[in-house]
Amino acid sequence: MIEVKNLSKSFRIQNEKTDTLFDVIKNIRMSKNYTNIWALKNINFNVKRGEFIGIIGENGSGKTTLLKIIAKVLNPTKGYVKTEGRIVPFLELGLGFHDELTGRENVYLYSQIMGLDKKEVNEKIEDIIRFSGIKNFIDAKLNTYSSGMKVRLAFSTAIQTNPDIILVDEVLAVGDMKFQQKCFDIFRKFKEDKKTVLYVSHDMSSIKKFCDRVILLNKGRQIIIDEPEYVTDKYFYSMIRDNEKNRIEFRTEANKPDFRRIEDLKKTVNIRWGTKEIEITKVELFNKFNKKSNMFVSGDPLKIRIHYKKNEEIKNPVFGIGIFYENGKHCFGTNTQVEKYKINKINERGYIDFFIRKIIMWEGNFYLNVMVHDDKHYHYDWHNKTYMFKVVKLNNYDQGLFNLNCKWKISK
Amino acid sequence: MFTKQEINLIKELTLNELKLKYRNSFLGFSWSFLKPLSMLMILYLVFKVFIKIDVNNYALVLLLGILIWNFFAESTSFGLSSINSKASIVKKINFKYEILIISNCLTSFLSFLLNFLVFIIILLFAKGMPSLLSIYIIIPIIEIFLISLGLSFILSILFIRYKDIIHIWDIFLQIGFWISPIAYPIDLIPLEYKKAYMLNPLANIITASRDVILNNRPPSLSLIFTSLITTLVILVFGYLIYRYNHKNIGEYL
Repeated sequence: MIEVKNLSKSFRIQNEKTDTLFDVIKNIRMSKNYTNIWALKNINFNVKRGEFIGIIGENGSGKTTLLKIIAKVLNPTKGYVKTEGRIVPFLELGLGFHDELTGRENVYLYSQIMGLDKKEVNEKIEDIIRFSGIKNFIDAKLNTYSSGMKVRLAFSTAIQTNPDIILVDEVLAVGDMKFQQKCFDIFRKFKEDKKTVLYVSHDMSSIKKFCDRVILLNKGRQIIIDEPEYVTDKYFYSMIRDNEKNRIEFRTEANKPDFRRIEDLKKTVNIRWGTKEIEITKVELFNKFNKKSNMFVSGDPLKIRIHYKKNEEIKNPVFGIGIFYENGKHCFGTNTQVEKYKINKINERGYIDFFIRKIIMWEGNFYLNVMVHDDKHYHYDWHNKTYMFKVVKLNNYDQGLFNLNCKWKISK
Repeated sequence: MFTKQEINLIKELTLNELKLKYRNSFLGFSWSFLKPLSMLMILYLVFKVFIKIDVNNYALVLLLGILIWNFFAESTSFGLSSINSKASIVKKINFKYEILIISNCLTSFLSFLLNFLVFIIILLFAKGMPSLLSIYIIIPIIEIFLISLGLSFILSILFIRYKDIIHIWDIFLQIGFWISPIAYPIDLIPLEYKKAYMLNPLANIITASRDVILNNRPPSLSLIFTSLITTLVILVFGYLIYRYNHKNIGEYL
């Protein structure tokens, strides 16, 4: 149905702009004043009839370029794309309708450009209008429409043209909830009707829900094509790894506090106090692959490793942590004393691990307190809101702040 | 070359453009006739009243020239941006982009025909029933349409790549207006320049139209033949340039 073989696409980025004849004449003696950028490199895949293929990747990874080449709007630089059947592309937001014409006139034009007969449009126009949900505005000029309405109208038209292959790029990004729901119904229908769909989206839950296979692109390269679960997982963790490179520096050195009351101190971000009989030298966070990170996926485990150094002989130290939401709200706190771990003696240097089995927060930035004190709350070393980590969620449907472990039971 | 569905699309696009052109203005269609009319008045003032040019029916001679020239100038300048102005569609859907060029040219052509109809009515009042020879007017009219179409093919492709074509073409049109027999009849051209002058296909076309419609002269066969050849050369050449480049349209937009 779709065969993509050794596909590469390069764009010339002009160093000197040459979009006028004058520039061309001016630059005629200069050799090579452009750089080649590979937007896609060596892409290979086959899509069978009726397959629903997701394409994911960061912005600028080549997703739209790939769709454009399949839609034959752009030419491949190397390799080829073969397709069978009628392709209807739905690329980028807000299709180029004519602003001065009414919605209805635009639907006629657009569907005829996509290859429908006027008679067929006459038959389908009511369906198109109903699906778009803008019946009241259909005879108003298009320039009175919001961008969301334009996309809805364009998408409604596109899906009514009875394509064999449909290319969908980010249709959900502008629609409201109701329209999204309709799109999902359409996707379901596509699957029933055995239409071939290439679907670009950042919405991982719909990718997981509909796609048979998912392609992950990164900087124009095809990283993987496989089962949705596997690919989305890989995508998230590759994103986190990239993020690590420019993560926020953990701030361990702070000024000595001059506050009288500890309670005041505790409101302050990134501050450290204590008598340093035991010193916390380093705090590290680990993700489910046991890799250092400060970004985590909701639902995954998290390990906090606290490195310490003993300056004086201390009996029964207590290690604790506290977690704060980005607005400063205290979410959670515990220590070894509360949980009845008795630490009699510690080594000169060492670390202690704190395990969170499952991150129940859906998303957000969190501050972390790490502290060591004695059993009577005499502070040896207190790092107040000194560390930060981020939690991301994989879908858009989860409501609220956190995920409680719960289930339903219906009485019979 | 085109399927029935595509021909319908051309029709739809043309009528829509025409509708848009007249929908938003209070005076509607009369605007499109006011432009040549104002040009007629100022040229008449300069050439007939001030310079005292000696031409029979000068107003009609002038008006016919202006109408043909206006069609040529309008269709090519719109044709130049016909693909570029629809970039938002062209960048997303692959279809026969020449449909855009053709429908653009047809839009200008239809409004030219409307103007021409007005011209015929004026002619009826001024000179009475024209002779049967007037039917030959069809030939130069078709020629000027095909020449404009051929040039639109070239210009629209060039404009995608080189944005200053629009200025170059403006200058070209400005010169073209004066080296075509619009404000004056071709008889005023000195013999030694005539050969070079006639290389301009518009010279042929305007002269032939005046001959058949105002002078009741049958068109000279050689005139028709040469202009037919130039027309076909421009059209085929234009279309070939378009065909050769049409795959890259999406790249440069």
